[in-house]
Order: sequence, then C-alpha cells, then structure tokens
Amino acid sequence: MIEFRNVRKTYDIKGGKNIILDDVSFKFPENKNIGVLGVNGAGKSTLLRLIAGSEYPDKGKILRKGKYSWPLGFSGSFHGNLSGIENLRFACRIYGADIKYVTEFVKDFSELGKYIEEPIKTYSSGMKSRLAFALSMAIDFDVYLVDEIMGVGDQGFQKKCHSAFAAKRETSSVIMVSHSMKTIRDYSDVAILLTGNGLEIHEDVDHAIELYNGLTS
Amino acid sequence: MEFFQALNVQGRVISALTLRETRSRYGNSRLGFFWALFEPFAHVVVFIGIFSALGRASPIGESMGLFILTGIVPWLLYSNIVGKVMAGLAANKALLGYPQVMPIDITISRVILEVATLILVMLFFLGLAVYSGVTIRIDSFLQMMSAAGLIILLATGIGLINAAIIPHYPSYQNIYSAFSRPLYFISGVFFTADFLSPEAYAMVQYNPLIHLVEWFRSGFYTSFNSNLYEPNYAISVCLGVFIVGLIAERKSSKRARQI
Repeated sequence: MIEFRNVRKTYDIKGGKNIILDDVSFKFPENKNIGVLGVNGAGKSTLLRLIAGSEYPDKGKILRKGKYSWPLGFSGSFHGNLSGIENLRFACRIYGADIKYVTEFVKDFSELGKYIEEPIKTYSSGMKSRLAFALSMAIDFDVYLVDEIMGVGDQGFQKKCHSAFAAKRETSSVIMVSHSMKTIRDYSDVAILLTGNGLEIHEDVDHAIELYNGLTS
Repeated sequence: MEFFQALNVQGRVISALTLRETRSRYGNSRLGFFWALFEPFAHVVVFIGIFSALGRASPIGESMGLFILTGIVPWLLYSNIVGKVMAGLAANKALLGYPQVMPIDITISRVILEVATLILVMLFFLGLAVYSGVTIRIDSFLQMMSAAGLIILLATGIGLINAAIIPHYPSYQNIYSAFSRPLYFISGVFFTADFLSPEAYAMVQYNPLIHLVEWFRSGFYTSFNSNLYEPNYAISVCLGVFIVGLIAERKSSKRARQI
C-alpha cells in the first residue's frame, strides 16, 4: 500500500524551482504492476525515489505498508569504491538478509564471474543492473521499484529476469520507469502518466502510451 | 513497537556502516592499522627530539613520551573526528539511496571507528611504555573519559556544522583548514598552561580544547592538576556546539538525499 497525501516536491534549478509534484494526493493501486510514463525531466525517477523513501517530499506525507525495494537503477545505491561482494554484504546487513544465501544466489544469477570481487566503478551499466537485479531478487520485497534497468543485457539475461519476476508475481509487484514502450507493455497492468500537473492513472496501458506519445511529439 | 523496530533498523545500519568504514580504512592495505599508530608515534618522536635538543625535561612525570602521548591522543580525537564527519556524506552519498540509511548514521559510524581506533592506539603505546619500564598510575579514569567524551561532542558538532556549510560555500573548506591549523599549537598538546606567560594564558583560555586536554591529563596524572580547566566552561561550549551541529544536520540532511 502506498499513498501520497498533499505531496509537494521541487528541485532547485538555476533561476527558480522545477516543480515535480504540487500538492498531489494519490493512492497507488495495490498488487498491480505499474508502469510510469512521463517526458524527460517530468520526475519519473524522483517519483520512484519518493516511493522508496530514498528522498523526502518538501511537503505532505507518504504512507507505505509492506517492503519496498530501493530504487533499482543505474545510479543505484552501490558504492563505487566497494566491490560487488562488499556492496552485497552491506545490503544484506541493512535488510537483515542471510549473507551466505544471498551471495550464492547473486553469484549464480548475475553471471558476473570474478568481476563480483571488483569495485563497482569498473562495471559497465549492464553489469550494474545485473547485480542490482540479482541482489533484489535474493532479498524478498513486496514491491520492486525499477528505474530503467529492465531490458538491459542480452536476450538470455532478459529471459531470466522475466521468469524470476513471473515466479514472484504471486507475492510481489513492480513499479517501473522505462523509456522502452515494449518493456512497459510487457510488465505493466496499469500505467501512470506524469503530466506535469500531477498523476493520471490509466487502466488501459496502450491508451496511456498513446497519450504519452502525444506529449512527446 | 514501531519505535523499537526503527531502533533495530538503525542499529543494523550503523553496524553495517561501521564495518564498511573499518574495512575500507584498514582492510585494503597490509599497512592499514600501522598508519593509525604511525601518526601519534611521529608526533611523540618529534617532540622528544625537540625537547631533548633544548635540554628540557618533561613538564609532568618522568616520561616525555607519555606526556606527549596524553596530549596527542585528545588532539587526534578532535581533529580526526572533525575531518571524518566533515567528509562523511560526500564519501558515502551513494549509500543514501537505501531508504533506511540516514545521514546521521554515517556520522555515528565514523565517530565510533575513530574512537575505537584511538583507544587501541592509546592502549598500544601505554603497553609499550609499561614494557619499557615506565610505571603508570592512572589518577582518575572517569575524568579522562569525561574529557574524551566532551572532545567527541565538540568535534562531532564542528564536523556537522562544516558538513552543512561546505555544499553552499565550497571555499569554506580551505578557510576552515587555514584557521584550524594553528589550533594545534594553542591546545596544550606539548605544554601545560602553567608554562604560559600571563598574556598567552589570557588568550588561550577561551580555547575549549586546551581545557579538555588539561582535563584529560589531570585525569591521567596523579601529580598534575590543571589550574586552567573549568568544567562548566568546557561542558557548555561542547554541548552548545554539539546541539548547533545537530540542528545543522537536520536542516541539511533533506538536501543531502537529493541526487
């Protein structure tokens, strides 16, 4: 369950403020996979970070129940100077997960090989997303917050993600941001459109994509 | 219930952060902890050299090394904590992506590591002194702890205030280090206040650090009781700075989370 109550979020930019959400009250549909659409700079990633609790609203309240993942994205929560394994251990400790189990799972799932011992700053973006995915799959979450990293990597890895998510479908859902309309269609039951004035929910994902295409052209 | 759950999460975060700090400080190079010992050792050696060249005896006790050690440990406690707290957020910003990691947790873990390091350093050198035949009789452990505790509060407060200012005025960092360098020479690391001329005494008496160093030494030595330190002055300055630091942290931590 996640609910925004009178949420306002702005960013300071040169010569003013970029308003991302202005007094938005919104209840996210439960147990549904949600795709978030919006033009560049509309605040899709910020929305995910607000949902996760990685960032706080300027005003208003965000109520959540259940276990939400950190925003799984390129910028991620990984520390560049630490190795994949060290980052993994850190995440296990703060989520209270079993380090041994998670390490085995991630080694197997991520296919990073010996790179898992290397600092994250040497990783390509594909490798980072593989690690983030594997790690989040090993720690059980009710809701996965995915920022752009779905659909990265080769065909084989994509398939693996797909089936891992399918297996979790009973217990978990996903809220995702992506520029790929195909990914949005593949994963979402409903779409949320960030219009610049607030959030619009669309049960019909294809219709939302049409509206989004109208905004971008 | 919710409160204890939150406390439990924070405990997990702080211990994870402390482990990570320890590993990145001491784990990656074989020399790791050697460097923590080397800095105070270098200070002690330099001052023993200077004092014996001048033909002067230790101001308190027989051992010059012990005298410098009881000044350098409080000093390093202060200056290392300020430095670590100041740079803490910048060095760990990525980890704030995890919602349960709070900026204050980073500060707490860094202070814990610094305090633990200096306790070990102190014990190592005291052990060395005993081994080489110096007798040590600690006067009041409680007084040493009080002084050290206040140094921790003061240093954390200043570190937090600096951390809040630096993102707004990056050049402040240079200004701060220019002004804090002379502090070493007026904090009683290698002298006691009794040796100062009345003019110098009048000037340094407002420096809270010299109060704390003298307090620390008064606790350590049975034969020394500082005339300078006033607990009320030291306590109110340290608590005041610490509270201002916490307020600065509150005000700036929201911004710290933004990418």
